Amino acid sequence: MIGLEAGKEHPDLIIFIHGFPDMASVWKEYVDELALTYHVIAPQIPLKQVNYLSFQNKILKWIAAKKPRKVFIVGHDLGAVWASSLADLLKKDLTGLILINGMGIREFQNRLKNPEQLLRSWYMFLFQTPLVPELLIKTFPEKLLTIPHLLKQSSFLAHKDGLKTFWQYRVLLKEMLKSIDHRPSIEARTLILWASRDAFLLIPKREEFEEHYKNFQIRIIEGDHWFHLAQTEKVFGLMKKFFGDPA
Amino acid sequence: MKILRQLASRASQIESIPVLSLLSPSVKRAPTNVEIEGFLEAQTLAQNSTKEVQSLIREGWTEIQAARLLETVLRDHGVKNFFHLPFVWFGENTRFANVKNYKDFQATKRRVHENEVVILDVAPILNNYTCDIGHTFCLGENKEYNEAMAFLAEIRSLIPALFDGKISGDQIWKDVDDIIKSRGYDNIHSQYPMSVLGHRMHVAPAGAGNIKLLNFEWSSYWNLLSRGMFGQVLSPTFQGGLEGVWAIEPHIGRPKFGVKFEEILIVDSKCPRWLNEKALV
Repeated sequence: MIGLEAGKEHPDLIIFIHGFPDMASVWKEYVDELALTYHVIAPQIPLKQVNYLSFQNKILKWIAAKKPRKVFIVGHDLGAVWASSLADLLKKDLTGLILINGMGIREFQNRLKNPEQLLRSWYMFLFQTPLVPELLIKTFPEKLLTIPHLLKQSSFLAHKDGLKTFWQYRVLLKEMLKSIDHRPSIEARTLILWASRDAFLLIPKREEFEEHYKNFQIRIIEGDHWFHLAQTEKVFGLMKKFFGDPA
Repeated sequence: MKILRQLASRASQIESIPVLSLLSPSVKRAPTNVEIEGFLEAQTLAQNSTKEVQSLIREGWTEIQAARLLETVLRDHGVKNFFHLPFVWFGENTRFANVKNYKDFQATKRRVHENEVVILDVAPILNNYTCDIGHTFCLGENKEYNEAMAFLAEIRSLIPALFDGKISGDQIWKDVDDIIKSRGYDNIHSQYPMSVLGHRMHVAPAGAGNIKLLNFEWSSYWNLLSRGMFGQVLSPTFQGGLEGVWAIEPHIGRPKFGVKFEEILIVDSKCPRWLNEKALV
């Protein structure tokens, strides 16, 4: 489950969850920097399909076994979906949540009512078809990995294996249907960092989060969907302030 | 009403139905050692899984969240079918305060709060062996809960002796009801379908498919109905033989909450005994 881990000696835990089509290694710079003060892990999303709740339960059990003093979770893109779901289960045991260009299942469900967002998420529906995505990923991996750059998302760093985690879109849709009535209740402080030029997700509005997040702030940052990889210094600054800020 | 009760009493003596008994033979018999092992393995897995979920439940979870996680944990351990999927009740739901029909027994969006009572009740089938367990705990400290659990432990210690064959099943039901009421508690299992204090356990067919109705899979209905139903459940009218494997589930209530346990009881020519003497209660 664990892709990267460092700073085991520290009592406060930070979990970084990567998005699609990334790998846990995208967080390396963050893990190395923050491990000076925190126990930092970056789980690797399995390359083969697993049950949504099973994987979530693995992380929950791992956290429970470590008994950290404080827990922070950072999720980017689809990693934000996992992060938000975990926050909904950890409740008061979670100290802080950072969502980077991503949101929870419930917010995304509501977004799909917006035709512009539907158009931007076209690939999500392609991934629901049987065999087609597997065939495309096997036959044209390099071409698929150029799509973010074609969409002017120049901060993207390609990882061929990352494409294999496309199954998340399948379980995400199933999970959306299963939890259609569920109203998450996220009690931890939440910081939502969003790029101004994200090609895949529309810039969020406060009312999208108000129902489920008790204490949140949104910061819009100049950049693309992977801005946190291009502007590490700036994001480090925001994160460190957030982790150290008890308010 | 009296005629219906008499009919139900008569029907409870039916253990199998001609012709259907070829597919669903009577289970009114002592289990073999292999069967006991199978039931024990299933029950141990279910009990460990409920304890795992107990350790993860936090204030603010909904019953549905807990039920889904319990099902996931069991499926991750190889369970493919269920006699019934998880029932989860929080707070006043643990005493069925809002139950008006069978659908209301299912997990709801009700959230758990500090110091509230939680009941997890699940019946997984592992390697064809069915078990059915109920586990009660409290999310914090609650004196009334502690007292109720101590009383439930007393009831648990009394139950095996009631199955020694000296009294009939309907009398066992009545005796447990009297014990519960004598201490000022409500009998909550009287609100279960057919007011059952327990029901027989079966070896389920492998790969039975998972079409379900109201949390119960089709094989559960088949196992009960194909054997005449009334002889499979320890209801207030039961007069059939007691030998066999039972899931016993006394459920008692206070005005604001209820507590229960559910475990397998072995009734054979030896002393009636709990499948696992070490209790969760």
